[in-house]
Amino acid sequence: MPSEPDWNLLHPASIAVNLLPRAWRVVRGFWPLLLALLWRGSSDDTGVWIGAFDVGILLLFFSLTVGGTLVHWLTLRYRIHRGKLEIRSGLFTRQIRTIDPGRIQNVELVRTIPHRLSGLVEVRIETASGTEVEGLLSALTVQEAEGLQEQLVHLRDQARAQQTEADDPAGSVLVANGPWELFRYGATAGRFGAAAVVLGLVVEALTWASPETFANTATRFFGLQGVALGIAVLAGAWLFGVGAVMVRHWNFSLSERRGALIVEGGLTTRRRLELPLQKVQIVLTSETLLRRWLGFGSLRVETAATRSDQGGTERRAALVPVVDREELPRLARLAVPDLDVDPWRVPLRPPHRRALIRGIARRVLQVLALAGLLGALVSPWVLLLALATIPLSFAAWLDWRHQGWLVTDKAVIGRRGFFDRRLVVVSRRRLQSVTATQGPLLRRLGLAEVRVRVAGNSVRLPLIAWDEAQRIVRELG
Amino acid sequence: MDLIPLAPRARWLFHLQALFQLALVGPPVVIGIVVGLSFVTDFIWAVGAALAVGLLGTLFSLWLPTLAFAAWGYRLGEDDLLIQQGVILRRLTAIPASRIQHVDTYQGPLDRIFGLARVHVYTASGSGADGVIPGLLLAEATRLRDRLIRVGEDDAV
Repeated sequence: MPSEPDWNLLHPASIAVNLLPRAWRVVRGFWPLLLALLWRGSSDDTGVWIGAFDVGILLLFFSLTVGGTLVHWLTLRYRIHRGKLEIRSGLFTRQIRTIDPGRIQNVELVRTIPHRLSGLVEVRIETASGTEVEGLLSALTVQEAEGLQEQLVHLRDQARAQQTEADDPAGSVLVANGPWELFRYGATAGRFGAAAVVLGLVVEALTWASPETFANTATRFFGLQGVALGIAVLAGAWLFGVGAVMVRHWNFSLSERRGALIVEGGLTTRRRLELPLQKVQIVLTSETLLRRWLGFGSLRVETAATRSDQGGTERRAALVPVVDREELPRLARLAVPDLDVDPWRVPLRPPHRRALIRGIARRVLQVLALAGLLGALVSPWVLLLALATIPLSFAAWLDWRHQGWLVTDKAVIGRRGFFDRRLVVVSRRRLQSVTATQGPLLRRLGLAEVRVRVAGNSVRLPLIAWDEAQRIVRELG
Repeated sequence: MDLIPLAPRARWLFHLQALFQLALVGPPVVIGIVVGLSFVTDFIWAVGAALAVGLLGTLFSLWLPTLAFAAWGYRLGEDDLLIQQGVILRRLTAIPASRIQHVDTYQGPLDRIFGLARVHVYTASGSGADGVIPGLLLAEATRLRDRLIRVGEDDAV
């Protein structure tokens, strides 16, 4: 049996290299205290930084910084063991992080000014999980760092060597949206919320600037004039929405080339997005009621992207604004080649009937709470809002009736909504984890919520019985 | 479902953690209730209400860890890890072994007192640890970690 490799330490100069960043982190963590200290000091005639208390605080900052840096150097160890990178750290809470080279997305060597001065380098190892760098070795010699990088990249390439990569010949344009299609998409987007916000801001500004003029003007806009103004504002918002869609997606095209979906579009800024089909995580289609009548829907394809500038993983998504409804299954199957059924044609499994109770209860409680609050604050007449529970309960029933889910051998499918029907398709090969959750209310109803996680996103299935949820979790796991 | 329970001494760890939490959160809550209610009612009633809430909180803190301990369970199968947890919010999670990106083991000061460790399992979902199993014997945690870290068929990202 081979002996275990020794643990490696950071370079001793890491204490000096890490001192400044760590001091900054400590100051950042305690800024309210520091601010209070400065304020107290500056309000004192005898000057800033006086007294034993202030000295004590300074000593605390100093010892936290130096102590933390020392502990970091003393406790952090790393090694490559059985083909995997292990990083050990922690004084009171000892942690061993094991990183499989096959999962590594990126090994980065970074040299900040302190690193350059000391001739050292920082190694950052990133996988696709979490929102931070998974492996951080803050100060190694250039030789050690390059050796480690070479070893990790070699191990990663070995692990990935078996993966096949599709290399299709040049493909053709799958979807092209001209001005008419984009107009249809923008016109049915229903972007009136922005108008309400803008109108509110304008009213607020006018009230503040000249209350009397505003009051005089406002009285002239009651009745028909007011209605006309409202329509004009809404029409303006609608036109603005249409224009924004045109500018964003102008001359839009979706094509497939060399195993990737390529999305191009935009008037002022021309964007080109390339999404490898192998990395597609979720395909989501949206068909609002109006768009269903007009015979089209939109499609969104998401992949898990590499690390963002802020240090986390972020998803990339491509939106295809207008797709003929007949074309949706073909595109969904293209983005998820595993898809073994046509979700638009096969009957999906319904949610549990008690899910309807929850759907109605949620809407009714929301309306009653709002009506009660406004009734107490504004006028008892607002309580008439409670009548809205009737149409909302009907909407809840419509929504429940059109929900559906299906777990096939290759995919997980979920469908929600009547007014905005959304269908989500996830390949089972992309699934990261599955969770069934049951809160107190759902337990009383014997229901559970199943959430399927993929890289960068998750999908919630309609409510089903707890036993069924357990079965699905075990099946998908 | 035949799940493996946590190490028996994890029950005492949970109790100790609950007591720490109670000591940390209890006094400010009780004081807050006394101060808040004394504006709207007599001081004696405010103290009474605060003591009642404090008593309920204490009883709950003594009772909940036992339930939480009983609710925890896990099973490492050929291809996946199943974790069940939760008293108020019940949760069952399955993590396919081939999707695991990395596994962390933690030993906090309280864990060390009891010779226990926590295992955190991460996938590429990017939403923190997908699975956490506390209250494992250190040897069991190490064994579990070693079994979980294995090269999968594909990276699935």
